[in-house]
Amino acid sequence: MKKNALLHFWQLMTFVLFFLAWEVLVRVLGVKPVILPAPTVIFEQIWAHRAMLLQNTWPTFVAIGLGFTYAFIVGFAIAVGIAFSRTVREITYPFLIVAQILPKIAFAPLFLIWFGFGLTPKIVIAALIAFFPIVINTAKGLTSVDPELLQYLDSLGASPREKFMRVSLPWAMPYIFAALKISITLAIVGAVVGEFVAAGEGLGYVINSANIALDTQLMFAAITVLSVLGVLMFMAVVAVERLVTKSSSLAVDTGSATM
Amino acid sequence: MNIRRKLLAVLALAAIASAPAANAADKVKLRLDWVYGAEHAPIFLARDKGFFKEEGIDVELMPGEGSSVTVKLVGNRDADFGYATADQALIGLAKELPVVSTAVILQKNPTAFIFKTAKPVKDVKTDLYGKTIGVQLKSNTGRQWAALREILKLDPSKLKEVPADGALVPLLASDRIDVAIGFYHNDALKLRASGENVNWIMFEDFGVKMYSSALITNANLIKEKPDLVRRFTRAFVKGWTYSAQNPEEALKAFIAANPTTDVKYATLKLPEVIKQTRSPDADKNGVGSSNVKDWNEMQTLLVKMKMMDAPVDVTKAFTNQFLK
Repeated sequence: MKKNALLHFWQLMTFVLFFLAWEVLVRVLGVKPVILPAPTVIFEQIWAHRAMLLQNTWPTFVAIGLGFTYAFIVGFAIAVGIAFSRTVREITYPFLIVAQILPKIAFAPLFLIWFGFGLTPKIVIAALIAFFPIVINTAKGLTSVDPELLQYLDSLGASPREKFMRVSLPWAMPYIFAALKISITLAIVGAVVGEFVAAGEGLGYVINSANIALDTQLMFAAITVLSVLGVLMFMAVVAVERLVTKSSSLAVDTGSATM
Repeated sequence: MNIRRKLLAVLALAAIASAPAANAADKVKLRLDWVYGAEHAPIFLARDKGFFKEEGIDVELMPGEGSSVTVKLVGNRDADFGYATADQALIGLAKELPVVSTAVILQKNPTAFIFKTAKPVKDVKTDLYGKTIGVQLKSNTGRQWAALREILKLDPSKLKEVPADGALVPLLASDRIDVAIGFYHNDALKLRASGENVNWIMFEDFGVKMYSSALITNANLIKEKPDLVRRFTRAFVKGWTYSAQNPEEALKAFIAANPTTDVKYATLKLPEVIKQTRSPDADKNGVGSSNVKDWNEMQTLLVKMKMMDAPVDVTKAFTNQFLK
């Protein structure tokens, strides 16, 4: 217990030391706020504009959340599809890899013309960037189940659905959650890029318009709030993983107990 | 014998190496405001016709990502010179970036309401309601629009604005927006070049008068190398005065340097841009000249538009000394 507290203390200290070093550097080198503001200035800005920043956090959160959700649904569905057949998998892999490498951010200005402005292009970009890790990892997880275990269930007369739900899926959980943790960060990038190009609200919009107005302090304030949002959403995924892994390990235990 | 030859060779090399560098040209970086366009043709002409070389300058041209970024770069001495709009330069100065305009090339505010003649805007006080207005958030035109809204006392709840960065032309062409707010010599002429019938209403007609693109540099560079700034400004302005007399040549120079450019668009744009170099002040005192009165007027507007918090001493924002 004490060790945990000490660990957290030092984790916090790395941030504190980082901000301290930043503050000192800016002051000692006399860097102008319009080039790089000091942390104290940024925190002051966050406080001064807290209402506006909070107001703009919501649309960004919605865009990230929905983009991530769609990425998961579509990614998972595709993964299950290709996990089914080795042939399908081998045929589609190169296509998937190429699609993953294509820089979707480069398409962002086109999305404004194709999808209009507002929430839709944000969700599309976020989902597009976020879903490939889910596809690749889920497929990998589902197909890396110990074949002997599956044969054993076959010998017990288990249906494909039972094999999937009882064995394949729980087995794939670590892979899936590894991908989800990556995907949430990608969804954040996608949503913000969408806001840069195609929206009139959101933290990405605030960052962009503050930059144009040479208001670097506000820009950093918005970046900080966005970072906090991102960390919170990441932690939410980690929390869900803990919950699901606990309950799914129970299911596996029950399964083996009755066998 | 051998040793003597070697010795002579070494001495010769030493003599060459220690001789003063034969007038090495000053290497200078010029960061523009946006991607290369016909509005930069006089700059390309100045470079490719050797105006900078004549002044002993080897100029490196770089495209930009908006005037505000160029102002930041020049203010931070990441670029020696910049080409950016005067209002952004003044805002930069107010934020303690030592940016100084040595030549205000474009003397008119090119921001305008652009629309298809089939769906015209005649009276901005009433005709903007119910129309979808495309606004560029990355451009100062967005801020000007916000200010003009107040000046005209428009009811924001009756206005439908949408973000349209980098997409004014396709959005207006496809009728996804009815009115575009942009630089008339860019978006309106691009549309005309592609066969659309468009017209425009200038923001200047409503009192939104501002200096536009200017040659800017860092005040510290002026202090350290005033002669370089003089020579550069001279060559730069010469590009503009020469292009005014020889627009065909300027166009050719631009197309040669940018072979993939839309020639029809460039042909329409260049004469309009050259027109904007003229004003009573510029006609009397030469291209690039600016004065305290007009800078102060622009500043008052910027403060009113809340683009600046408080006024600064505009005499620190510009100088005409290098135009002589």
